[in-house]
Amino acid sequence: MSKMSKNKLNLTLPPGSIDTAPAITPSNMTPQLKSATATDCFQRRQGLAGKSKTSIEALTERLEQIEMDDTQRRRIEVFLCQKEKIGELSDDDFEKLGELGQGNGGVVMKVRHKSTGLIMARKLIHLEVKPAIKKQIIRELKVLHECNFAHIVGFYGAFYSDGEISICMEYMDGGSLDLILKKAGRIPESILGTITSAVLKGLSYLRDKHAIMHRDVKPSNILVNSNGEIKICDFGVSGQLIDSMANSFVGTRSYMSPERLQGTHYSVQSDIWSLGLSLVEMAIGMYPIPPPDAKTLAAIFGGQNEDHSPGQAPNSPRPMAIFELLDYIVNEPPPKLPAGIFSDEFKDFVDRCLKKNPDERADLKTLMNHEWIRKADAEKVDIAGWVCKTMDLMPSTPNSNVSPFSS
Amino acid sequence: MDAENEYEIKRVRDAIQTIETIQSMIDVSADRLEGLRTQCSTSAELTQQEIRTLEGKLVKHFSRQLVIKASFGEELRRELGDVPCLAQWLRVVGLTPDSIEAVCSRVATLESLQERSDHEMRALLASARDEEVLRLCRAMQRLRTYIEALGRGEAGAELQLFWDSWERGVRASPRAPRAKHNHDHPHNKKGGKSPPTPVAKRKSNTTLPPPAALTKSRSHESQLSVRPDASDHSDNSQSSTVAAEPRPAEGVGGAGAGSAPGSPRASPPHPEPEPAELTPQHRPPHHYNHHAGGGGAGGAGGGAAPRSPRTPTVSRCMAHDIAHRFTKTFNMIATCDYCDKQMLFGSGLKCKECKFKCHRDCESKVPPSCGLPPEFVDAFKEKFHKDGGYYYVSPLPGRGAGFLSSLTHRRSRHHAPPAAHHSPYLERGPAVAGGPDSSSNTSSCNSSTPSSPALAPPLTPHHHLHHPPTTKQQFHFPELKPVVSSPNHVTIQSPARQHDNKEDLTASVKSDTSSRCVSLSGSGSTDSGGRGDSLDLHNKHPDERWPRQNSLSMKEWDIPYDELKLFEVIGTGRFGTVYRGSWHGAVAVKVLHVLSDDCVPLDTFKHEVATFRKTRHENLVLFMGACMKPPRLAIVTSLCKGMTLYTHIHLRKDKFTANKSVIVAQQISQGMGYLHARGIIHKDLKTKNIFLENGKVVITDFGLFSVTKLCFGNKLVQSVRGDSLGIPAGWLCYLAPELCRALTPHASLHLPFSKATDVYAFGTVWYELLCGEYPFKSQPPEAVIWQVGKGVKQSLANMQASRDIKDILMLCWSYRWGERPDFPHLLSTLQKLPRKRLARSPSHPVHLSRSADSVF
Repeated sequence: MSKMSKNKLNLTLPPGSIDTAPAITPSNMTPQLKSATATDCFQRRQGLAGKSKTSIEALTERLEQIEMDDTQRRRIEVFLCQKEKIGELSDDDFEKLGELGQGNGGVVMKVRHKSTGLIMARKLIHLEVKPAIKKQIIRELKVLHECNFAHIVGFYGAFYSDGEISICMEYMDGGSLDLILKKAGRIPESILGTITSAVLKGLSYLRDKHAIMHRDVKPSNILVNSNGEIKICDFGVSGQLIDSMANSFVGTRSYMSPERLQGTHYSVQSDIWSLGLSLVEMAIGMYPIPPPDAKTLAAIFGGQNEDHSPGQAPNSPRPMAIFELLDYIVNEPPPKLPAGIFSDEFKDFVDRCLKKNPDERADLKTLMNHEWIRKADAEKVDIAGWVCKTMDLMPSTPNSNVSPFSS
Repeated sequence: MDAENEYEIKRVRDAIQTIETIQSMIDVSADRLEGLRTQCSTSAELTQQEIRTLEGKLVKHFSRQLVIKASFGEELRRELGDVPCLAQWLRVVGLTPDSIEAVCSRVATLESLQERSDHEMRALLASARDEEVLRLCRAMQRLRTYIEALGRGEAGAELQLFWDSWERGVRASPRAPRAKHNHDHPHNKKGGKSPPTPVAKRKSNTTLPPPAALTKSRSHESQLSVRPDASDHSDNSQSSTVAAEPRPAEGVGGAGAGSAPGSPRASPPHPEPEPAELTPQHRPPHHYNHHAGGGGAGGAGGGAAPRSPRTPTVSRCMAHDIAHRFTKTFNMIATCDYCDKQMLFGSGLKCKECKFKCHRDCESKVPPSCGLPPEFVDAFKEKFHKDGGYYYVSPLPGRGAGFLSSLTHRRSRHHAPPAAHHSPYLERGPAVAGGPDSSSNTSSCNSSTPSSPALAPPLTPHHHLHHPPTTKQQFHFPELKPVVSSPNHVTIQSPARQHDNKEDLTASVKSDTSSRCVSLSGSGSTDSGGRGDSLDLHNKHPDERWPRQNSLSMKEWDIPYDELKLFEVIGTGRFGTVYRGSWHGAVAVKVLHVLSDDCVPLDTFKHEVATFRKTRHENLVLFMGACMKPPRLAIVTSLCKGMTLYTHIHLRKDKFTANKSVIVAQQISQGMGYLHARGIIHKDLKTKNIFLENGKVVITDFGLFSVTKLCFGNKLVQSVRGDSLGIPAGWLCYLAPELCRALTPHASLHLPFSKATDVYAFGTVWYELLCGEYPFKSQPPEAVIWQVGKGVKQSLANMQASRDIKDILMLCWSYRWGERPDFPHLLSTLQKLPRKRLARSPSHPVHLSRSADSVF
């Protein structure tokens, strides 16, 4: 069954993956996993099902085309190996470990895949749709199998059970940037530079290799882990899923570009706006619309002490009606970084992202060559250390599925 | 540090949420209080008790809001702005709209009012009647008392917090029970012995009526209201054991109508027509009394007798107040009767009744002069504008104005969109309904003599109290004064008439009058829940019409939960789960997920149930009863066979031909027109709530929104994300601009729903029928909120439909609520859609190319 569907869709997973599962008992499997190297994995794979070799090789080849360093490539290979053992997923395969948060339209659970012991993030989206629609959604989600990239959250599979679509993804122990932001108050510019670089790479990967745009760039859709990896998730891969979502949530923050709010045509440029807005928020520690007044800024940056005082504190919540907020985005000047606190490059970068006219906005390519990004790429920032420090994680926690390579 | 801040934010948010929860309780209680004061006989002990209880509750709610608000910083206080809502408080207190306006214009918040002394309040209400001042003082005093009690931590203390807001007169001693008898309703008397019934509308400009008048007004009011006096004979009212002789007091009561002996009028009626100083001449009598014609059993003929015009010495006591029924004219090139300027093609309006023509822009300025000869109109216009016009009584139906706005555009918009000038009466629906003014309202819509001017409401003291400004501003016929030949008939007939009309309404979809009937019942049917019950009764049993009026206890609607059999789940909604069930046959049972918290949802729930039982209409789901014992709250309705329009349109992708769409839309308009006439706002009209049973439309789930929101709205939002609003699929596109603009991330409990928002939602249903998909399809919620809030509409460029059909859609989607038509109007428009053209259109005439995203 699984074979069928996978072959039919010409996916990255080799057929026969399901055959391997019974061969290995869960008990001896887990340790194996932890010590396994990519090569072991390949060897075993080849031994068990020779024919699968081709697809893995094809995949490896493809990986080589993509700009990734060796570590990144190896991590992906390991991920794919683990994924192979899993095969088709179903509701019974999981053990709940806790709730990770609320995504748009659904809850995200931390789960353990029982037979392999893998920790995953499982996003549940409530849907009341006809079976045909469900199938279409699952089908559309399968594109995710092909999204293997250092800055894209890995995808294990999707299935439908009990009125809910489950999307199983790689677990990122650092959590999303909005969680980190809450803890840290603000995120230092140097860290933001590296994050932005990663996000830009992720976005261009999606656009170049899969011709999809993200549509929902925001801090909560950028994840980090204790290995220092930065990945984006929740991109709009299934139009049908978006259309069928039973509930959506509109909050005090919106990262949607003015042109999208106005219902006009929009493109990847729209993601750039969202990225720019997210950057301002993470840099000053508060959602920048409406812009904070001088007093508030002084309160935030008063001591010039970084990593201090959570942003939202100085001004108590000022609930704006949703429409009011959106109208601000459309009709008022775009937010910008306060002067004198951040580098000129950063300020310029943000300003280029936050042009209300999408044609004036810088495109992905320009931004990737922006001075601020080049500076960030040149400078080796210890994201892993920062994540672990901020989130009180042990460096390279055993939780991480890619621990073998974390050192 | 972090935690502290979080805590602080949370505390603030909690406070806001509490305040908003309280606000929703206030809305409900105020609504209910309003209903009790206006729809029930306030002379009944039971009603009084209920009112007192509610007053007490409201004082507590308002006090809590004030206390919570006071405990927060300046900033929050500013954000909360209009909570607690001063105008709402004043309505609760029982002031007239004008007094409210007067107070609001001088005092910004309840807090500041709270600081005023009695003396200052008296000054605020300089032009108001003494009893209003007294009422306000008392109510404010109660408020202070309770706030103090709260301050002392004695919230539970036994305090007398009511202030008897129904009291119409200032009186030294409690009314003697005997006296109550006296104001009893004539229609309960078998012989139909007639207490004088108000027919003519008398307006007197005396500022403060003499004490005698106050007593009268009270009795008058009990006449107006159609409920039997439960305290005295609630059980035997049916058998009409009430003493039949009119008592002196009764006569006095009737005097409110202006014609009985002892009437407070300054001068006795004069039998002779006297040439007026002004242009207006006497009018043919039938203009004034036609409302009696065609009436039911009771005092038949009485009102039909032509009255000779009189010349009262007080020359301003007659009034003309009939709104035009404007319709758009496309093929008219004429001169505006209002401003005498040329009207361009298609820019004009024409009154269906009197052919008065004017610019659309002039419409708002045109006095309600339907039926007046031109000379009169001029005089009227002059007078009207001199007095400053009383249009535009209520601006946007604001938050918290639920019970106001719900009634505001009752029927008036049917005639002329901005004609909110009726609202003062309508807000006090019941007083209007059973009584003389209702009969005049009725007559103004009555098809038999559509162009006759109705009389203004009688200026009995208590009416004065309701809407003093009207008195000033109404146009008064100089020389006319009606005679009440059979004073009794009105009270009996006006309900009867409504009854007839309701039957018309249900009976004929096609009849041209039915739209009027809808509007007609709209004018008078908010009065009593019992009316609906009496739909099937006939005129020959006039006295059987009222037996259950006062049964505010809902025993007869209470269904013991154990009697219900529940089968499979047929749906889940925000409010709970719908089961197929059995209770003396197949039923649908909506079981509400109950919160253990509070009695709040229960109150709301009971209130809703009280509303549902008023509804009997072919196109509305039949309400059968409810389980009202917490934690088992359920609503039992007939089981809708067939599928929802949603299923047809969105799941099965059934195509509706233009003809079929029109038929469906007509039925929806009919059902909705009825609901609105009953004062019920659906608040959640959508294809998922409309069933199609063998071609018959059945609308469900009306009015449940508030219950839902109370029970779950908050919870849902809170649990999911502290600061976001959960938006169910396919909900946004039904929300009118004013609702979209009002959405907040925290609590959307009190969205400003109104009849006009229902009409907007209907527009969306109409679009779905025609196009087979939602407007703003595939757009993210934020984009929809912004666009709708900004007045952007789904483009109809790709829609293949006739101009007329698109016009209806665009009207329903009008950005300004006042420009949306009402359902009776819609119905008649739908009925007028040219059949031929429909027949010629292709079999699948209306679909949008599937792939096409909305284009702007």
